Amino acid sequence: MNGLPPISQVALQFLLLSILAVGGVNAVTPEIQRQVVDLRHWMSAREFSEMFAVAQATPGPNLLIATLVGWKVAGIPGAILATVCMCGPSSVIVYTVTRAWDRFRDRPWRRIIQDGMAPVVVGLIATSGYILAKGADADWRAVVLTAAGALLVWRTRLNPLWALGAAAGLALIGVV
Amino acid sequence: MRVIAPTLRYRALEAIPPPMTSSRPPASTLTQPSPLEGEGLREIPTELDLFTGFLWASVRGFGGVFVMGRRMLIEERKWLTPEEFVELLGVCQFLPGANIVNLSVAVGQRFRGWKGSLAALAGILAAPAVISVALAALFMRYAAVPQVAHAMGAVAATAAGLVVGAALKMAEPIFRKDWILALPVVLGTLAMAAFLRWPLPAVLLLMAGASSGLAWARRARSSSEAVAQREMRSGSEAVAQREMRLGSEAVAQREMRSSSEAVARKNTPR
Repeated sequence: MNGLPPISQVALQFLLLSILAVGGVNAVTPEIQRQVVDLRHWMSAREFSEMFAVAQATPGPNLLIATLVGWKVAGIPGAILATVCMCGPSSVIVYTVTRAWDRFRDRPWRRIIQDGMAPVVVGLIATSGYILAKGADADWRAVVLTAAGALLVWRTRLNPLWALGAAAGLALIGVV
Repeated sequence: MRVIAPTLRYRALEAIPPPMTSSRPPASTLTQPSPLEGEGLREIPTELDLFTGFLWASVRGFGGVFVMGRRMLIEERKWLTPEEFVELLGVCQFLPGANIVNLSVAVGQRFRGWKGSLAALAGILAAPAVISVALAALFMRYAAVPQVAHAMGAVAATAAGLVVGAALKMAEPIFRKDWILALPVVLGTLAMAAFLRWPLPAVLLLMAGASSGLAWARRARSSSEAVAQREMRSGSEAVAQREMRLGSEAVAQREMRSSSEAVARKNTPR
């Protein structure tokens, strides 16, 4: 896989991650980061956290981090290919399963797998937050911002976009 | 007899199926649109409707498209009832992929087959993909300006916090439900993925397997406890029933005997 041009590597990587994205794209963000930053050195940890922030600030589904990784690696074609690859296989699975869902809706194993997967997904999303924070938190002020963002989502029903806007504003006037 | 009466009433209640199963919609509701809803016929959306519906929801979905998607599907376009939404969402959460993307595929499939899925998928993805790339390009262009770089650092730190908050929010209910299952699995996953940085397939294979096994064991245990309780209860019921049966049998036998004796007495020729 390493001999292929970057755009093909991105495509193959997201095709695989699409199937593994149980619990959403945030659950595979640590793996995307591991591949993109640690293994292939396409961007730094800080750049990855910034791309993730752009994806968060954009309206729409959270698979946009894949779009932006594709764009960073191979421009517009990379962005399109990464998006399609990230949601292609999972969409085929959803399409197939919703057509046949009635057959296994009431099976007991479905409930057991669902119960078992829930804490794994929480662990993966916590990992995602940890890794993004590690990439973005250069000093104690950034750590405070991370904690504030976490509290806002956890404890309030405010639109998270307010937090991103407030952080940008506070940084521009030199408070943080 | 006075002691037996409540258990009999309880058994009568038990004979009625629990509400969970009785309120479940008929098997076809997930894959086939139910045209009769409320007062009139629900119109089946075209591919173009599906595209524009999801496109408009995605553009308005700042800070989380999911809420907008729900509003569009249930309140504005009325493509799904709240119950249908919850059921479809349950399927989508169970499968890989972003919830709202999966939901668009499922809703598209429901009304217009694979063409509907493609239309809805294009609707939910097109605008956000373009906007995110435009924003990223804008940022990259001014990334060398110190203020912009500094502000972006602050935004990135906060965005990381949003993800941490999402994890905390999701953790709350599953810890409350069964922390003996949740605690080791969450910590184990965190250790492998965040600190050891193992590849995701390895983490998933190991943790999903172990966690499902644990969930199965805990479920089996709690259900066997429930069975034991039920057995205890039904055991005493059985005793009560036997007593009742014996009692009534005795009464009936006595009555039969006495009546047949009476008949016999009457019929026996003197």
